Amino acid sequence: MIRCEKLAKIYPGPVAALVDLDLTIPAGQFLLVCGHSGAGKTTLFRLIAGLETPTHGSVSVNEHDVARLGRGGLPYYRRRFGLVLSDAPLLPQRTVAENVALPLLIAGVSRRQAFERVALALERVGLAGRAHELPPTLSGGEQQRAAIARAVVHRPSVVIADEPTAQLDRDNAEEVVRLLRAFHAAGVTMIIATHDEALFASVAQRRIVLANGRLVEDTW
Amino acid sequence: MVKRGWWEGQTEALGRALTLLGRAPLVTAVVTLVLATALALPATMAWIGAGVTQWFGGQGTEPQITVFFQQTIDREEALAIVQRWREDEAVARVVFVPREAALARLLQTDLGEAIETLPDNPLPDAMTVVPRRFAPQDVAQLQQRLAAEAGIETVQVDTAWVERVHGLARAGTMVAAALAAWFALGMLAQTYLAIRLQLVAAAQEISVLRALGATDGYIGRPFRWFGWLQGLLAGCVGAALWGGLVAWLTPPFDELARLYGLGGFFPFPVWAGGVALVAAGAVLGALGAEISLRQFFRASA
Ligand SMILES: Nc1ncnc2c1ncn2[C@@H]1O[C@H](COP(=O)(O)OP(=O)(O)OP(=O)(O)O)[C@@H](O)[C@H]1O
Ligand SMILES: [Mg+2]
Repeated sequence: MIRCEKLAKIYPGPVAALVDLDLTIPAGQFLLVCGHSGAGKTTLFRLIAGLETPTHGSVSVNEHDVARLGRGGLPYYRRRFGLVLSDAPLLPQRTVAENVALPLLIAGVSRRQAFERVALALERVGLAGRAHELPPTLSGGEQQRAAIARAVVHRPSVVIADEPTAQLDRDNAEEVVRLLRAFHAAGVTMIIATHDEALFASVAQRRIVLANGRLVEDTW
Repeated sequence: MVKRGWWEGQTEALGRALTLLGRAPLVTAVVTLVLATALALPATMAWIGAGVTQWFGGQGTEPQITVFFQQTIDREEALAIVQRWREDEAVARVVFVPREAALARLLQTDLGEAIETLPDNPLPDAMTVVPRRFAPQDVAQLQQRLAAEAGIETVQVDTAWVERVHGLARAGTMVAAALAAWFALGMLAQTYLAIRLQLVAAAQEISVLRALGATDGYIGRPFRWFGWLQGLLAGCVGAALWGGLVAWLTPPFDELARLYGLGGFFPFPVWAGGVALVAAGAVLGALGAEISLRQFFRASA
C-alpha cells in the first residue's frame, strides 16, 4: 500500500507542481492518473518512485516513510518498482537484452539467471528475436515493449508507467494495454498516467484526475 | 533468485571498464603515455641519483682522519693506541702506518732526493682512521676525541670535503623526492580528470542506473576498475620506458665509472624499479579514481 500525505513539490520558479496531495493506493490496484499537460502526473510518479524528494508532506509504503530511508536505503526502495518513465529511458549503447537485464543485475542476480529471465520477459512482449539489437534500431512500439519488459523482469510489486502508449498507433497501444493487464492479473499494482483514458477503460479499477497539482477527481 | 558471487560482480564491472577503455582508444593511448612519462621520468632521475650517491659513498671516497703520533712515544705504545681505537664504537677501520713505511712512500716522490740527505727519518708513526658515520658532526666529534688522546701530536681531516659530499647527496635525494611527489600528484590529477570525463560522459547512464535502484558502489565499480587498469597500463608502459632509458644510459655511465676507477654503475636492480613503477601506477590510478568518484557522488547526492 502506498500512501501520499499532504504531498507537495515546489520547483524553483516557484512552480507548484504538486500541492497537498492525499492519496492511498492499495496493493494490487490498477490506477489511472489523468490530467492536462503540466498537471503534475510525472511529478507524482517521480516522488512515489523515490527519484525526487517532496518539498512538504510524505510518501510512505506499508507505513514506512520514504524520507527516512536516507541515502543508503533509497536504492533498495527503488527496486520495488518497475519503471516506464522518461527518467529511466532504455540505454542506447546497450542491447535490448542488456537493458532488460539491468534491474536484475543491479539487484545482484547472477548473470546466467538474469539472462534466462530476460529471455522469458522478451518472449512475453514479443521481442525474443530482437534481444541483441540496440534500442534505437527498434520501432517506437517495440521500444515501449522493451521498456515494459525491463519494468517487470524483476517482478516488482508496483509498476509505474508514464504515458506508456504515447506516440504509438492503435495496434501497438492496444498491445501495450494487453501486456499491462496481464501483469496486473499476476498481482502487480499498476499506476498508469495517460491522456487516452478510453484505451484503459476496460482494465482500470480507479481513475484520478490532477489539475494544477491538485487532486480534483477520484472515481473507483 | 540466485545471487551472484562477489567475483561475478567484479568481472561484470571489469568488462564494463574494458569497454570504456576501448571505446576511445586514442584518448586511452594519450593518457597512458602522459601517465607513463610521469612515472618513468622521476624513476630515471632517482636511478641516476642513487648511482651517483653510491659512487661518492663508495670505497676510497670515505672521509679519512690522519693521526700522527708524538715522536716521544715508542712503537709499543703507538700500537696500543691503535688497538684501543680499533675497538671504538665510532670507528670503522684503523690502519697503522709505521714511520718506515711512510718514509719509503715519500722517497718514491719528487721530495725523495731532499729527504734522502737527512740523517734521521723525520716522520712520526701514524694511523688512518675511517669513521663509522660520515656525517660532518660525527667526524668532527671523533676528531676532537682523537686530539685529546695522550701520545697524539696532530689530527688531520678534510671536513670541507666531507660536507661537500654530504650536501650533494642530500640535495640529490631531496630533488628526487620532490620530483617523485610532484609527478605523483600530476598523475593523481590526470586519473582524476580521466575518470571525471568518463563520469560526465556516462551521466545519463548513471542517472538511469540510479532510478533503477543501483547503489553508489555498483555505479562506481566499473570506474574504480577503470582507474586501476589505466594506472596499471601506465605503470607497465612506464616500466618499459624506464627499462629502455636505463638500458640506454647504463653503458656510458659504466664507462664513466670505470674511468674513475669506481666500479660499475648499478644503483638498484632494473626489475625492482619496474615492479615499483607498475605498483605505483596501479595505486595512483586507483586513488585518482576514488577521489573522482567520491567528489562526483557528493555533488550528485
Ligand atoms: N525539474 C523541473 N523543474 C522545474 N519545473 C518542473 C520540473 N519538472 C516539472 N516541472 C513543472 O511542474 C509542473 C508539473 O509537471 P509534470 O511533468 O508533473 O506534469 P505532467 O502532468 O506530467 O504533464 P504532461 O502530461 O505534459 O507530461 C509543470 O508546470 C512543469 O513545468
Ligand atoms: Mg508527464
